[in-house]
Amino acid sequence: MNEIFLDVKNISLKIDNKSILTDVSFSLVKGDLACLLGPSGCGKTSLLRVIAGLEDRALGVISSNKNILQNQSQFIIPQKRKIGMVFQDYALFPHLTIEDNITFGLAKESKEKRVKILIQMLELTKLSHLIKRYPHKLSGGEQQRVALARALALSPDILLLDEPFSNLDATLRESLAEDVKNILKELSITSILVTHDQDEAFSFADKIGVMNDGKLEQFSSSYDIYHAPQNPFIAKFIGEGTFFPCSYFNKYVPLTQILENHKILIRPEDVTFDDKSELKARIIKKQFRGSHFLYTIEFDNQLVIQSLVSSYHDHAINEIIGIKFEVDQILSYNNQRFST
Amino acid sequence: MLKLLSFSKLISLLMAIVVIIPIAIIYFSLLNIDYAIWYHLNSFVLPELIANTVKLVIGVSLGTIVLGVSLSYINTFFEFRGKKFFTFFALMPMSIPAYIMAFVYVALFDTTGLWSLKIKEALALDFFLPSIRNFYGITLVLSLSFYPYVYLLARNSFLNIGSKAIEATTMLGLSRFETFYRVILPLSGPWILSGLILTLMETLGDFGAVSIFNYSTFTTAIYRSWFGLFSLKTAQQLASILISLVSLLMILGYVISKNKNFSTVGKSSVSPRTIKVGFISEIFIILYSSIVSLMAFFIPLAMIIYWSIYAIKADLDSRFFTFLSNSLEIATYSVIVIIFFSLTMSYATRKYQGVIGQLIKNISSLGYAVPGSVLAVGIFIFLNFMDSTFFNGAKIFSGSILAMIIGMSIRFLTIGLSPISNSFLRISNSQLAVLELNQNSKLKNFIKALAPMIKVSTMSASLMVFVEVIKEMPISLMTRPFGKETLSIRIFELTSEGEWERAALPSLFLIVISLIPTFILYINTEIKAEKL
Repeated sequence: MNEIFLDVKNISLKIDNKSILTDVSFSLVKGDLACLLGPSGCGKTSLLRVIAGLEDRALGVISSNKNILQNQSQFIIPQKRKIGMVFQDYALFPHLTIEDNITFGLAKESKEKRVKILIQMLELTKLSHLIKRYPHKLSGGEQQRVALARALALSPDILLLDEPFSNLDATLRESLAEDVKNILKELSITSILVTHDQDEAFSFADKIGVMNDGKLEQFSSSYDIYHAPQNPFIAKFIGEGTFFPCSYFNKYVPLTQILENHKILIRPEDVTFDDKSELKARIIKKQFRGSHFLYTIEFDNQLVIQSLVSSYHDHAINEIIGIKFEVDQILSYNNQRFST
Repeated sequence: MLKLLSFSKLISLLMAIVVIIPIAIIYFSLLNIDYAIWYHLNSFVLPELIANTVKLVIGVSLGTIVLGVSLSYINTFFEFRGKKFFTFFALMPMSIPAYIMAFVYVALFDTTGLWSLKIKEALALDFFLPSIRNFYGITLVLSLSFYPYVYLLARNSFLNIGSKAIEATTMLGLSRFETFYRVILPLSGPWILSGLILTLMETLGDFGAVSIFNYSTFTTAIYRSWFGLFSLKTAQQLASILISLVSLLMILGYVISKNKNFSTVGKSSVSPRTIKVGFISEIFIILYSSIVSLMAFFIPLAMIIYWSIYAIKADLDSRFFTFLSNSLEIATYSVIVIIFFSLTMSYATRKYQGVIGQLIKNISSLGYAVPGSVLAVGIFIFLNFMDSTFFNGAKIFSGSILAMIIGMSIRFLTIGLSPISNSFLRISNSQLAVLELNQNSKLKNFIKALAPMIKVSTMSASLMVFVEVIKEMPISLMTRPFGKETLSIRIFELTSEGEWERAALPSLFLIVISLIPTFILYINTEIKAEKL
């Protein structure tokens, strides 16, 4: 069952001598929901377009469902790849009704089949009441669902979603991401979502690929991305945290092994408040986050660190408090890897 | 109450009335039908005129749509060698007035035309080739001359649809061709149609080209009944039919423009990524684009230059400079009048925004929609009436260049008004408020603050009006005082005598000055294209 369904190997893309993607490889099994996460300009959308076949200047090998999509000698045009795409701005056709938008790609099918698929899609996306409307009469969330239905109507092997929720407001974004995830799980469609929003990535995906500067830095389960980031960039990009030299940190938390020239990552949740602790720190900034406070505190030789504690710990700025490190898992990185 | 009737408002109202009177005169003649004239028209003239007009409208529609849409599609969606060159020259036919293109083609391809004879010789034919002076010939010439209107609007629309539409259809499995007729064409439809409406307005209003081709339409019939049969009444009745046709087009255009608002697919409109075409397709594209620009621009221009070189010795004399100075004189006065009224009206409509201001602006644009020959009839009747009422029949208005200047000002007011009023609209309310609140005199405010903001648009408006007035033919011809010949009148006279070569010299001048606004238009379109 765990056979590779989508295989992306050594993809590189240069446009006008500028490297957009460098040697990107990853693979998905059938039904995987993956997410490409990274800051803007990191190449995540370009990678999506390469997989779709919209970008034909890339080198490397891509295969899907045992068919070669591209390698050195052949390039399958996007129309023949059985890949669906949902665009950031939905790209609905303004001159067509919702019904005609959804069945747009089915012109070659018989009428009965078209109607059957349409009904199925409308039920799936809960759009039945809107079929005769035009796109500009719909809310952003509804347009988004039409775009999804239109792509799914062709029953693609793979669905690509390019920042599909970024034009929606925050509350809608979360519920829609959940809906979309359930629909894709139900149909067991292998999907890749591109986003720069890590909350979206965590709520949607089983696997996350973090991209930076055209490279895929890490591709693994969502859990590992947060708890076992492979390099300082990912550690910094996902969640919050501060880096300390190993040798220095040993003063506060005895380490089993002291690695020279290494820094270790301390997440804000690793730092807790303890009145009995001998290690004292001064609060210099506080940010209320509902259930928690994110404090920025200063201790010892003007070392600054963040601490995420329950919002029952309400302290004033400049107050001196006792802190304690509770690090379950030590993550350390060689200094040389901080170059970027 | 006095404040409501400010100077600028008064002037605007006055100009709107002046624009509407000659048009209204023609409309009212529809209500005041002269049965004797209609009987004559109906049995001898109208059937041919209507048949010719309908045929021409259909032919030119087809021609301009095929040329305009195909060229803009090629230039927007494909990558091929010489693309920049062809994109530039696709627009250039705009700088050759239709009547100049017409006489070049007649000179070359009439029965005894230069090239017709050469072909006859080369192929050793023992008969003469058929003349180009027929329906197909005039359709070809007007299509070559007017397709840039369709081209321009189609190109703007294609660029605006953006790459998203094409990527979306690609991902849904559509080929390029399917994408074109299922998405691009339906979305661009309103734009292409409004380009077509402009084309048809020009076609219905064309006087010079059809008269060179001896192809009877309403404009030539109006001229003949007035100056051939000396029946201003017949001319008036014919004009009323033509203006009804034009009104139909305008209503159609209005309906279409209401559908013009949504044409992008997706929010971010990035201009479509062009695709490299295969070798064979590239050859076809280059061949096609070359043939069109040869026929619509290079051949006419080359012939005009060639003949001008011959004519320059004989014809570049004091008479030529009289025609030139007459043209410049009329154009300069018209520019002054139009810019004065445009500035005043723009100021008034900006300061007192409201329905009436908008109405006045709309009325002022009517003059441009009405064919020149219709306007000429209306203006002549109006000025004749003024003369007989106020000056005991002395030809103060109708017999002087005042008639020409008034005619030109009514016809081309909107060309000056719309860029200037747009630049006024860019001045914000708070900027206007600052001007109201400070202690400077109105004049000082104008010079220091307003003038710099409207300088560029006023200059380009002046230029465009200037060129249009010099090119204008029917109004010049029908409202001129005796002996006042301009360059375009000279071209008309020489071409009606078949002296094509001698008409080249004044034509060359017209083409050269028309190149300037065409060039500006090109830069504006292509800068927009690059920004997308």
